[in-house]
Amino acid sequence: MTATTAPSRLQAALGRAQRDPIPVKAHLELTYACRWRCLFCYNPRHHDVDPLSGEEWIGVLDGLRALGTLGVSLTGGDPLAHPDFLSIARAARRKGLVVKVLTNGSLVTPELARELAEIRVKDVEISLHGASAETHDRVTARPGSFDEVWQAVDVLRGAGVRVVLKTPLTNLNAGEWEEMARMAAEREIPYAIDPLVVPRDDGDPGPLAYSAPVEAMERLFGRLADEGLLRRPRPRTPGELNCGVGWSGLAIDPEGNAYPCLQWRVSSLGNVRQTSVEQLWRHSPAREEAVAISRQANDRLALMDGPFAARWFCPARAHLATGDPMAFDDGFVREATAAARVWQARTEETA
Amino acid sequence: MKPNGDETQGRERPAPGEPPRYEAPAIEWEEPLEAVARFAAACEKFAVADTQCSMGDSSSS
Repeated sequence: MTATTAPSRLQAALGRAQRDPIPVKAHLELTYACRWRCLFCYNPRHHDVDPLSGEEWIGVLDGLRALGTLGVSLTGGDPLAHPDFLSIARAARRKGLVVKVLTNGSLVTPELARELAEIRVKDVEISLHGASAETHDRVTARPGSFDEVWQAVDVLRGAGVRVVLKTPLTNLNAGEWEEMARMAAEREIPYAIDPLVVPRDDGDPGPLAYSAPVEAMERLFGRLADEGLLRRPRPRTPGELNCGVGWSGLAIDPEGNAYPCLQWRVSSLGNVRQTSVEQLWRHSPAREEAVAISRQANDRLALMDGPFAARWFCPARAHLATGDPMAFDDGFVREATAAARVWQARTEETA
Repeated sequence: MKPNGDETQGRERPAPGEPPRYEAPAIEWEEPLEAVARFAAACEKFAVADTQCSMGDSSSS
C-alpha cells in the first residue's frame, strides 16, 4: 500500500469524489449488542443474528479501500462488544483508513485505551445523555451508566486518546444540554448535540415520542448562532444533490447488509457475504435510486422559499417516519421551524 | 456538485462498464494524531452527508 498524506493528493481524491460516486466514509455497525437500553435507540434490536466475523469485516475493509474510502466509523450497538473489535480497528488503520469509534464507553479498559492510542484512532465519541446520573441513567435504562461515561473519558484521555462527547437532544434531557456543554468545556472536551431523534431502523416510530420540543431546539440554535456556529441557509441549485446518500457514504449492518447511508433503510444494496462491497456499490440499482431521490429532494426544495428550503432534509428519515422519502417528516418541520425563528430574530435585531 | 481537482493523478484504466478506479490516499500508521485529525477534517469537510446531516456522527457543536 502506498500511504501518503500529501494535501494535494488528498484534495485531488476529494475532487474526484465530487464528480464520481465514491464512499469516502463508511459506517460499520459491528454489532447490535449494547449494555445500554436507550429509550430512543434507533437500532431494531440488541443482539445479532449471524453477525460478520472479524475476518469478514477485514475483507470488507479491503473492498472499501479499493472503492476509495478514506475513513470508517466503527459503530453499533456498541462496537466494543464485537469480539474482534480491536483486530478490525487495527486492520483499518493498517490499510490507511481514518478510524473513529462511536461507543457508550462502558467496555473501555486501560488496556484497550492504550491500544486505541497506539493505533491512533482519530477519536472516540461517547454519548452523554444527561448532566446528572439521574437523567442519564433514566435515558439509558442502565444504573451506573453516567459514571461509566466519565470513567471511560478519564481512562481514554489518560492514555492520550481524543474523546468527543455527544448528546442526542430529547424531551428527557432538553433542560440539561447547557450544563452538559459546560461540563465538557470545563474538561476541554469537544461536545456535539444532535437535535433530532429518528424512528427505529425497522420503522417503529416509538423513539419519536422522545423528540425534543421546538422550543428546546430554538434555544440550542440560538446559542449556536450566538457563537457563530449555526450555518446560514444556503441557496439550493437545481441538479445538485440534497445529501451524500448513495454518493459519498456507505453503511453496513452487523449481518452484512449494505446501505447507501446509515439512516437509509428504503432498500439495501445487498449483502457483502453474497456480493463484494465493490460490486454492490458499483452495480446496485438501489444506490442509483438513492442518488435519484437525493437529486429530486434538492430540486423540490430549490423551488421553495422559506425555512424548509433552507434546512437540510433527510429523505431516509422521512421514509422511516412517513413511508415516503420525499415527505416532510415532523422532525424536519420542527428543526426548520426552530432554525427559522432564530434567524428571523437575528434579522430583526440587526435591522 | 462542482467537479474539482486533478482529473488524472493516480487513475487507472477502468474495465469496460466500470467507473474510474484510483488509488485513494491513506493516512500512515505512524502519523501523529494531529495529522490524522487534519486528514479526517479534510474528508469530512467534503462529504455532504457528514457536514449537513445529523445521522451517526457529530453534526452540531
